[in-house]
Amino acid sequence: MDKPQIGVIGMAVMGKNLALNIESRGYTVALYNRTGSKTEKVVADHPEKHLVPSYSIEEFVNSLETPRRIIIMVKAGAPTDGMIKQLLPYLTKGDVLIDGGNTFFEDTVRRNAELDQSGINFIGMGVSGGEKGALEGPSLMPGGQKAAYDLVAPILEKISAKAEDGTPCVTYIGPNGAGHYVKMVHNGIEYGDMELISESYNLLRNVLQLSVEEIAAIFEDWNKGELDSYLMSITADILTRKDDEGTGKPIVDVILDRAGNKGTGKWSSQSALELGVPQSLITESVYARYISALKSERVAASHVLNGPNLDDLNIDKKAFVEKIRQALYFSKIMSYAQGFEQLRVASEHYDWKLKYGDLA
Amino acid sequence: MIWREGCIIRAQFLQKITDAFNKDETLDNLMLDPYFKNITDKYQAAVRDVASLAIKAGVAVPGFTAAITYFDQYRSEVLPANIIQAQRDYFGAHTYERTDKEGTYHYEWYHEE
Repeated sequence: MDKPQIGVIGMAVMGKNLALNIESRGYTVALYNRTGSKTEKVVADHPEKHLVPSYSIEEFVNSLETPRRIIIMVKAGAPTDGMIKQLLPYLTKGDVLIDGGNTFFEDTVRRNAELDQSGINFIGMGVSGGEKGALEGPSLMPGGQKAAYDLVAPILEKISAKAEDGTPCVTYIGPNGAGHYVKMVHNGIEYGDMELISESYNLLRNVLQLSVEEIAAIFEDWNKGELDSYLMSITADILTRKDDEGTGKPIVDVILDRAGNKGTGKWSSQSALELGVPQSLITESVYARYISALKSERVAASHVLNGPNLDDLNIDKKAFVEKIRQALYFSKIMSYAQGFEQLRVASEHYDWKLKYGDLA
Repeated sequence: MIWREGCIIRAQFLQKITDAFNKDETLDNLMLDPYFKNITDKYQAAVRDVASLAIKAGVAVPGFTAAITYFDQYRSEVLPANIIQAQRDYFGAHTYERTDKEGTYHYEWYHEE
């Protein structure tokens, strides 16, 4: 086997899948995980693959072709700092560390500057597409030293998703925290898209009184036009599914109306507030999840506080379905308008020189 | 084109955003691009109707209302921030600018005792 051209640290599902994706493009990949048994299992499960396990940091670093390319896929925050600290004594000038975790961009700015003092390149890379994306082709948002990006670009272009015309869904985003920032706003925009689709569903279901099946058909139809998108298509699909525990109900009718979050939407709003740029769509979407989480309070309040009398709203249902479609597209445009305005203000503030057209 | 495949927000309409910035790299806001401006012209009546009906029916649509609110604010030559600035000057002497000439002004709202 060749000397590994790249190494992946962290054998949780994202790291493992990214490693397998890279290997599938013809590379030999070094693997390391804090708990060695996990690394052992990945190698045992894929005996035919060009995977080189290491059971100490030193062994892992020394196994790599130089300049070294290392992707860190561990928990964001302190675990990432801890891993960098462990690696540092074994690295040499010109090596490239890539943090593919769900990292707050200010941490990336700090780590990039700290490591730069030792001559180590540091790329903060947003990875979107979930577990499946990591394995089959994610959208990648790398930010850091441009020269370091050029050292890893051939690999990233091979493992990334491809647009319809074959363009890789990866490009150099900008210096230091630019990649993680763009990923953060991407996630915030995702919150907005999801919120707007849920509001459309709510109006169709609870104001127009349509059935789940009817709404599934409407969403499928919308997905053929201007609203064509992954989120529209999966929502249409979700609405066709029945409960898997045999109640016969649509699955959405048994899923509790409480939405969780991992914080990236909140970060987008916080950054917008810091920068003094309006970001009401993402912020309302975050609040909508927060208020959804107050389920028991809402249940209690629903028995106390009265809403309007819903006698006859006297609406032409068919015409109103089209109005909701238009409202959804209009609102989606406002959401992206705010998202790109935030990116522009951030780019000026942090001097990132983002290329907006490349992002979309 | 990085959001075109692989990620959760992938959508056909992202091409319109790429087109808009390819045409004008310094575009202040997407709404000002001709394609998006045309959509706002055509669809704003719908979002106003939908948001009104939702409010009348007691169904919360924070995303839709935030969208039309942002649109109406962004396209406003004049906003009621003059009142806010007057209030700030009144209670905190935070000063204000004028519509008709340069400079920073403070109004004597009351006589100090």
